[in-house]
Amino acid sequence: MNMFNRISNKIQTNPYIMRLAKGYQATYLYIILSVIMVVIMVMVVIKNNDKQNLTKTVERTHEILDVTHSVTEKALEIETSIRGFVLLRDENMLPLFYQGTSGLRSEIETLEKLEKNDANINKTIASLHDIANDRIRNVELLVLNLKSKQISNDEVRAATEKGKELSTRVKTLANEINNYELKQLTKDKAADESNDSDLNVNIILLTMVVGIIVLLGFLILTIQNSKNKLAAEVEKSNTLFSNIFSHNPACISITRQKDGVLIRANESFLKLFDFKTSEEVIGKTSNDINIYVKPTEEKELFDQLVKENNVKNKEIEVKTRYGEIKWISSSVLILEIEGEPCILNVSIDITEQKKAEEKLLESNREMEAFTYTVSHDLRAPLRAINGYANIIIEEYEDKLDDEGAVFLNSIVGNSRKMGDLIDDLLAFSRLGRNVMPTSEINMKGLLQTVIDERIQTEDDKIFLTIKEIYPATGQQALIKQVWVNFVSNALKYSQHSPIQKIEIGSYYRDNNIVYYIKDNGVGFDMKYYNKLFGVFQRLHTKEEFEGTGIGLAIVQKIISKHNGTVWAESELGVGSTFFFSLPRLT
Amino acid sequence: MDYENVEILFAEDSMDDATLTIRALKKSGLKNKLYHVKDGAEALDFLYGRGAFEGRDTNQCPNLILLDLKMPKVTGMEVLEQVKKDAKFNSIPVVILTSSKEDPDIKRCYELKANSYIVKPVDSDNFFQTIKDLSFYWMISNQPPSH
Repeated sequence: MNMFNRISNKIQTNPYIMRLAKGYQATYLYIILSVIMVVIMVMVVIKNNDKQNLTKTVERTHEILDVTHSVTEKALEIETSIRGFVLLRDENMLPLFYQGTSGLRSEIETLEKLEKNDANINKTIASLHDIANDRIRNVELLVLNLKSKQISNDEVRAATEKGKELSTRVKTLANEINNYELKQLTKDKAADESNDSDLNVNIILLTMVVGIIVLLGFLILTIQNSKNKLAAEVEKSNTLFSNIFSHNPACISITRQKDGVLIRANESFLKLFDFKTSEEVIGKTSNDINIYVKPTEEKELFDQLVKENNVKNKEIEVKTRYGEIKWISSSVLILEIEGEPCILNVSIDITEQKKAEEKLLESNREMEAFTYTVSHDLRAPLRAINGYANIIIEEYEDKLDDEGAVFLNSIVGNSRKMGDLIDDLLAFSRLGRNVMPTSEINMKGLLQTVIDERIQTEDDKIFLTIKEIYPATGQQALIKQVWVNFVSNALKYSQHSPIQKIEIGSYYRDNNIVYYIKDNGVGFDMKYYNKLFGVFQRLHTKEEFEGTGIGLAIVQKIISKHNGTVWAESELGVGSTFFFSLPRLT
Repeated sequence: MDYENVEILFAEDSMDDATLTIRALKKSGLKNKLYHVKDGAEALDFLYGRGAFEGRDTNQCPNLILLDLKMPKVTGMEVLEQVKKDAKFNSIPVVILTSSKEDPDIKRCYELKANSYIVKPVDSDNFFQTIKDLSFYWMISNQPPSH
């Protein structure tokens, strides 16, 4: 009983087996049906035995009937032969007579043998036996007396009468036996028939049961087969999962949701936190193994998980068992394992990345300090140069000849230009640091603002076409700067054309929105394309077109900050088209 | 040096910038009495009558303070903070001078209630015109309450 309970408990705790419990019920049914089949088979055997017995009985009855018939015949034979002998005294009749007596004797013996088991009729047979013997003795005596002629006619008559009477009694008894056996025969036949119908029912039942068993057997085989297949599939996917789990470079752990106890952790997890064996962590909470630098962060993560169902790439500061600080990026989701809600945590070690980020931040800070210094310290002497040169021009104009005045003006102009370069450089470096809020941008409105600022409505030399302008998301102030630069460039580089044609539009391509601005300006040689977006790179001289060469570098920096790209197409003397793409609104 | 009846206190460590600024102000006809100090420490000494300015009548406050941000010892921002903290001086308009509009300190200056700021451009024409206008504006429109 204990053993059964143990097994039964084992089965009940195993969900896989529980799922297959239906298969077990089929097996029980199979056993029950087998028992029924055996019972029916035993019944059939018994019935069949009965039938065989009955057949034997019937056969015996038929034999008895034959014998009783023969007894009557023999009795008649004796009577006939003795009558002949009495009348004719012909000894030739005697062999027939002896044949009759010996026949009657043997028939009665046969009858006794056949009937010796039936008490009901044995008495009658005994009487028959006695009377038949009396009859035989009666005639044998008569024959002897007749042969020796020591008998009177009267005695012959009396003996004959006596013989007749005995014969009649033999016949009567034989008839009695005959009737009795006929009755028995009718009874046996009825019994045989009912036995036959029982047997038929049993055989039908047996056939049905066998059929069901075969069907069930087939069913069980099929179920077993699919069970085996399923088990093989489960085994296969278990192996696959197991391999993915244990060989994964990401740290994977499974935690029970209700108490935060770790139930599984892979090799990478152990390695990250410097544990040797999984026993050191399994069955413990993260608090027990003390891996979170700020334990509240785990709670925050779980709270977020409950709210949002899954959390992706949350950066968390952790520590190994020896206290070494590491950073991980955790993705978690809730999944049910054996009916228990658990938390699957897949984390990757981003310590190096974090260090690199910090280094980058550090160098950005240094860069910022550097540009700040540059902007101050480079501008101060420039201001002095410019300022004193201006004073000389103002105060000592009359003491300078024309050439001297030109040189001084050149000093003033160049110092101003250098100031502009420094301003642009600073603006460019500012792009890398400032984080402005991202919002949905009404691109059409923004573009219109830029155009209104740049183009005087009464300027009838400019033909501006604005096609469909789709909205986008981004840092509006920066995107505005992009439009300012593009519109200014389009106007600047087409200023020598008799009619300035500018077309602005946008279209969707894959997951991006592409904006373009096309002009009929001087264009540029595509072989210098790689210099187009460089800082302070210019494809035209300052005498041709004003500018420091920072505009497109700023544009490219802004667009790449928005995960977009900038490109251009141009033909010298025909015009340029500038494109920039931004991720499509989702 | 005569530091009585000073109307504009001008703190600037760069002698060139100071020379050019003072010249521009004078040339533009701003006749108010201007006193130049070379750093923030001197500016505070001036206001509080300490150190070199021992004995100055501290009840005589300038009508305008022009402060360069980047100065040795005590920066312009520190002077600004002190001035605005002190009930005696907090009504004096303070105009901040800076080399670049990229200066991250500008935001902080406004938080400290600076009244204006001027970017010192390379092109002196622009700068001096601006500083002239601004000084004039503060001199005439923001008369401090008389002491």
